Amino acid sequence: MPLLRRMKRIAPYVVLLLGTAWLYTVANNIRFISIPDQIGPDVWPKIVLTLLMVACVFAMIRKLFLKEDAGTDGHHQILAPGEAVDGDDAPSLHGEDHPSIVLAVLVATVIYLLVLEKGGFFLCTLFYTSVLMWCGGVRRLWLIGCLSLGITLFFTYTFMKIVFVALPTGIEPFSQVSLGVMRLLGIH
Amino acid sequence: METLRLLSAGFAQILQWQDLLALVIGLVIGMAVSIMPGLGLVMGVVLALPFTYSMGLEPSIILLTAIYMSGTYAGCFTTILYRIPGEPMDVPLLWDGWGMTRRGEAAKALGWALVAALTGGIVSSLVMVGMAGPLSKLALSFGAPEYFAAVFFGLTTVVALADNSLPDALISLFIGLLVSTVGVDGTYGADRFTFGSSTLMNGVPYVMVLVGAYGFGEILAKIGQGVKIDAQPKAGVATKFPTFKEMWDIRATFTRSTVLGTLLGVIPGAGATISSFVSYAIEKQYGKRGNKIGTGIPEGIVAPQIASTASVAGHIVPLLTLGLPGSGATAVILAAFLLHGVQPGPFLLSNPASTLVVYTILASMFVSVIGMCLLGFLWIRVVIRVLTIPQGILATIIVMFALVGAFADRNSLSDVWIVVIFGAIAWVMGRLKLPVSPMVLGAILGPLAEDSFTRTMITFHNDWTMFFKQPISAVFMVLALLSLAFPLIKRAFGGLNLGRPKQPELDHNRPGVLEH
Repeated sequence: MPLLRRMKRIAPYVVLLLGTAWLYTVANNIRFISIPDQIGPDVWPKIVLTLLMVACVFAMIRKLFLKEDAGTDGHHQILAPGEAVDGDDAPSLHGEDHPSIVLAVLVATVIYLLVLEKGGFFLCTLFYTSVLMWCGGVRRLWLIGCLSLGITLFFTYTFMKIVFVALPTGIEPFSQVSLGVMRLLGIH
Repeated sequence: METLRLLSAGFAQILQWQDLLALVIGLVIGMAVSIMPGLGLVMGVVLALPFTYSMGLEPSIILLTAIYMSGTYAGCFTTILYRIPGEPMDVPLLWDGWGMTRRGEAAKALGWALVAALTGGIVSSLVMVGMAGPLSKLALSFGAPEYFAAVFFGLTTVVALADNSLPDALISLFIGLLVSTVGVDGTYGADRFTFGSSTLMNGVPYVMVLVGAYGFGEILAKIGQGVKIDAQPKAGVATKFPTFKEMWDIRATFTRSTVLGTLLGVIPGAGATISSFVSYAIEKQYGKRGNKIGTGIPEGIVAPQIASTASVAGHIVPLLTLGLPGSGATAVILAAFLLHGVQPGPFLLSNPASTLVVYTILASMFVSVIGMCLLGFLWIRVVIRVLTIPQGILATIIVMFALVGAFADRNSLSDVWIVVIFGAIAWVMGRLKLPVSPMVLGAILGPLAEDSFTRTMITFHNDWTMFFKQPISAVFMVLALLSLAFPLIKRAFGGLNLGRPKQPELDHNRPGVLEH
C-alpha cells in the first residue's frame, strides 16, 4: 500500500494520540488535597487516557501493517445507494455524500444559538427552520414559509404553555415580537 | 404469591386514565420513530423526555417504556414490506422477511413478526417480573466491587460482540468514559478538564451526549447523505397469523430466542440490536433449518424479533432493581427517574408506595406488548404513512425537538451547545468509520464505573485484586475477560456466521447500532 495512503489512514489516530497525551499532562495537574494511601481524582482519568493511547497505537499498527479488510473495519453500508439485490426492484434508500450541506447546517445552528438570546426564540427559530428545510431538500418557498411558522408556533406553545419552559424572548425590539406572539397564544 | 399480588395491584393501577393515555401515546410514538429509518427508538425516548417534566413519575416511565417496547417491534413493517430496516435490530429480519414478501407472503411474514414480538415480550416480562424480587435482594448484597465488575462486563461485552474493529470500538468507548470525567469530581471536589469554564464544572450530562449523538448527529448524517425513501404505502397491507401447527414446528426457535433475548437483555450495554443479531446467528448455526436461514423462512424472522422484544424486559428490571441502565433507552428512563427525584435500585422495593410504582411499571410492560401487537395488527396501514413525510421536513422537526428538549432540561443554552458538539463529533466519527455507540455507553456508564472503582480502592486500600476476590464480582470480571477474548476466539475458530455474504450488512458506524 502506498506510504501516503497508509499515513492518511493513521492520521486521525495520530491526532487523537497527541490530544490524549496532552490531556494526560492536564490530568497530572489536577489539584486536590491528597489523602495518604488513597487514590486521587486523577487516577481514573489517567487510567482511561492510558488505555485510550494504547488503543490508538494498536489501531495505528493494525492500519499500517495489516491488509485492509472490508469485513472487519466497519466499512458496511445498510444499503448501497439504489442497490437492487438479485434483480430486485424493491424500493430502497438512495444516498449521496454532501458534507458541504452538513457544514452549512452546523454553521446555521451555531449562528442560531449565538443570536437566540438576543433575537428571541420565535424570530430565530422561524429563520433557522427555514434554513434547515432548505438544506434538507425542500424547495417550495411557500411550503417552507408555512411550515416554519407552524413549527415555530407549535414549539412556542408546547414548550412555554404545556412544559413550562422559559424560552428566550430576546432583547428590544425583538422581544416585542416574542411577547406579541405569546399574547396571541395565550401564554402569560 | 406476593409478586402476583403486587402485579395485580399494578394492573389495577395502570387502568388509571393518565397511565393508560401515556401508554397508548408511547406505543404510537415508538411505532412512528422505529418505522422511520434513522430515527430509532432511542431518539423517540430522548425526544419524549422533556414532556415528562410536567408529568407524574408513573405516567412518565410508562410513556418511555411503551416507546421502548413498541420501538422494538414496528421497525419490522418497513423491513418486511419495503426491504428498509426501520431499526438496526431489524437488519437480520431483512433477509427472510423480504424473502417471504417477494414470494407473495408479506402478510404471513408480518404475522410471524407479530407472534414473535408477542411471545418474546410476554414471556420475558413474566420471567423478569419473577426475578424482580430476587434481583432486588441480590442487589442489596452488591457493593462497589460488584457494581464496577457488572458495568465492566457490560461494556466489554458490547465492544466484543459489536463485530467492529476492536481497537476502534475501544477507542470510542474510552472517549465516552473520558467525557464522563469532565467536571467536579464527586469524592474530592476537584476540577477535572474544566479549563476554567463554569459550564464544564457541571459536567457533561449523558442525556445531552445521547441527544447529540443519536438525535442531532443522526440528522446530520441523513442530511449529508441526502437519504430519500421512495417507498409508497402498499395497498392491502395486512397481517396473516401462522397456524398453531406452524408455530409448534418451530418451537425450538421460539424457546431458544426467548431465552437468549432475556439473558442478553440483562447484560448492561447489550441492547436489542445485539440480542437480535446473536439470536439470528445462533439460529443459523444450530437451528434445524439453519442452512436455509436467509432464503425466506419464518425462523429468520422469529429468532431476531423475539430476542429484540424480549431484551426490553431484560433491561427494565435491572434498571428498577439495581439502578443499572442496560441500554441507551433505559439510560434515558433513568434520567426520567432522577428528574422526579427518585433513584432506582433495591430500595425502591423497600417501601409500599414505591413498590406499587415499580409493579405498575412492570404491569405496563405486559399491556404494552399486547397493545403494540393490537395497534400493529389494526393500524399498520396508517402507521406506514409516516414514510410519506418528506425527509427535509422530518429532519427539521427532529432537530427542533432535540435542541429545545435539551434546553428544557435545565433552561440552559450550554446543554444545547453540548448536543450540537456531540452531534458534530458523531458525524465526524461516522465519516472516520469509528462506531459511536460505545462512546455513548461509555458516557452513560462512566460515572457509575468510576464511582464504584474509586470506592473500592478507598475501601480496600488500593487492593485491585478485590474485584477478583469477591465472588459475584469475580464472576463478572472473568466473564468480561472472556468476552474481550471472544473476537480472537471467533477469528481463530471461524466463529458464528453473523450474516449472509453479498447481502446488505449492518453499518456499525451509524449511531444506534448497539444501544437499544
